[in-house]
Amino acid sequence: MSRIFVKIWVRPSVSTISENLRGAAKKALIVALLAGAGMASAQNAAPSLEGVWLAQGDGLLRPVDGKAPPLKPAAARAYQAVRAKYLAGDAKVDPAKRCKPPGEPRLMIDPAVPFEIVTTKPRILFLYQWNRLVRMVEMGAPREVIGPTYFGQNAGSWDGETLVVDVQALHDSAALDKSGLPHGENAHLTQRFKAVGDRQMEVTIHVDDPEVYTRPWDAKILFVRQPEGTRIKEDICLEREGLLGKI
Amino acid sequence: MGLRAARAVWRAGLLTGLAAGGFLAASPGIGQVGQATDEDFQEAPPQFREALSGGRIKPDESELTRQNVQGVPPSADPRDFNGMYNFLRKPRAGGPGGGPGGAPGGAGGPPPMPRPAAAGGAPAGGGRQPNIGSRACQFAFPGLTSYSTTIVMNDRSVIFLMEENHALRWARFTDRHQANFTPTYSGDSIAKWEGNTLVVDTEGVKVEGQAATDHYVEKFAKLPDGNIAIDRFRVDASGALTPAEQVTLRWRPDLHYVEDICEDLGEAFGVNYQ
Repeated sequence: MSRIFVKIWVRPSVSTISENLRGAAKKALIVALLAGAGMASAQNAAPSLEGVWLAQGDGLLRPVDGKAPPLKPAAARAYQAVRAKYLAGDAKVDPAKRCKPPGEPRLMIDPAVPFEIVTTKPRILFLYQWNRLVRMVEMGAPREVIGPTYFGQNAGSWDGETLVVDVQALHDSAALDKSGLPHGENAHLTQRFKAVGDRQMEVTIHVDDPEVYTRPWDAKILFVRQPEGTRIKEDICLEREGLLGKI
Repeated sequence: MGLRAARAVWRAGLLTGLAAGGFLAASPGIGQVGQATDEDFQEAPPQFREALSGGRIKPDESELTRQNVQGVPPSADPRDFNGMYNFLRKPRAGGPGGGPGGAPGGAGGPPPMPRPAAAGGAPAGGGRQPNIGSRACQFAFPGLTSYSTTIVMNDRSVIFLMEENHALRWARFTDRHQANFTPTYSGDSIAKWEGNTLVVDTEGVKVEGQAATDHYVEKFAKLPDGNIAIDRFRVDASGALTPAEQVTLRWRPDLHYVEDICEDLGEAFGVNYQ
């Protein structure tokens, strides 16, 4: 486990490398490394993912090609049977209206749900205002699946400045979006988070779910950073929905 | 038995105790915490002991996964609290230094537990009588006494993520509280360092059924073994501190965060949304 973190987090410093070099070659290499370090520094100065974010759009997950999600026929029939009820907020159909976690990526892409990203070396947290839910991304290779859970198993890694999150083991009552877009038991999502300038974050979501979809597909969602000082407020779903003591 | 299932059983034992009306006394898993040893804390409710390996709730080998990312041993940095913990509440009688534990809400005891929704009258929210599971979600000041508490801290904030009821507290490193803060169960917390002691000041803590809010100051000190000692004080209107509780967060690299959705338990106990 520690080897994984070393690989991910420990970048060789100029001083460490210089110990292994000699003479003119050493000087030349140090100059080159310093230049490289300058570039790395510039990269490190890239906008952070930390902050409070809000999704743009309508909360629906669509392929980037603009077509409808490539549902298999049986899944399409099942989806059509519930879609209108999901969008109408029918609590008998939509578990989230009964305060069950909406799951991912539904919660993240809901334009009414602010969330804050907090990054540390071993884990990255997505702190949602919606019912104070937390999605924890553990950094490292995907481990043995323990689930299913509403947020699934989230394993993160960095690809340069892009956060890549591997999501598996999603709960069967968690839809992919607020229209009830379905997923299968073995759905595998790969999400790539990248800051775009200081104010925006682009997230691409690769859906690989052969049980439900005819082919893998990609969606792209844009997020806007909320003003400095924006706080995630405490939201208690059972109180909000008037369900205390009822379910 | 997996950790998740074990915790569900543990919670089920608590809820069964609630249903019996005995609350703390009827639920050994909770009732003995005030005078607990490490072993007592993990004792399973008696009605479920046979279902658990050795009668104890603890992770098995398969659950000792790479999610224990805080590593072993804990960081030597006295200001680095990042990691996962569970708790032990120190017995006391009104002040630091020990003695028998007080009752919740009483002298020397922990902050009062929220009254179960069905105890003594109409169910919260009106309508029909709630079922057992409907009381699974308890809302009160989160005292860091959960199955597990994950602390995530950086130079801007400290986050306490409690597994039980997915409770969350958030303290910012700033010198002033939010203006016009609307009271919440977790309140508005600000943090600062006094030497290597983390001091968290939380005001605006909503108390169900009361108009007045609570105000706490907590002092966190990392111990040589990686545990964290917490002294919790109530703050009165004059600003005076009264000792309220001592809790030790115990470094637990064998734990990992498990999604705990109390909102599921009502339906799990057989009452569906109608």
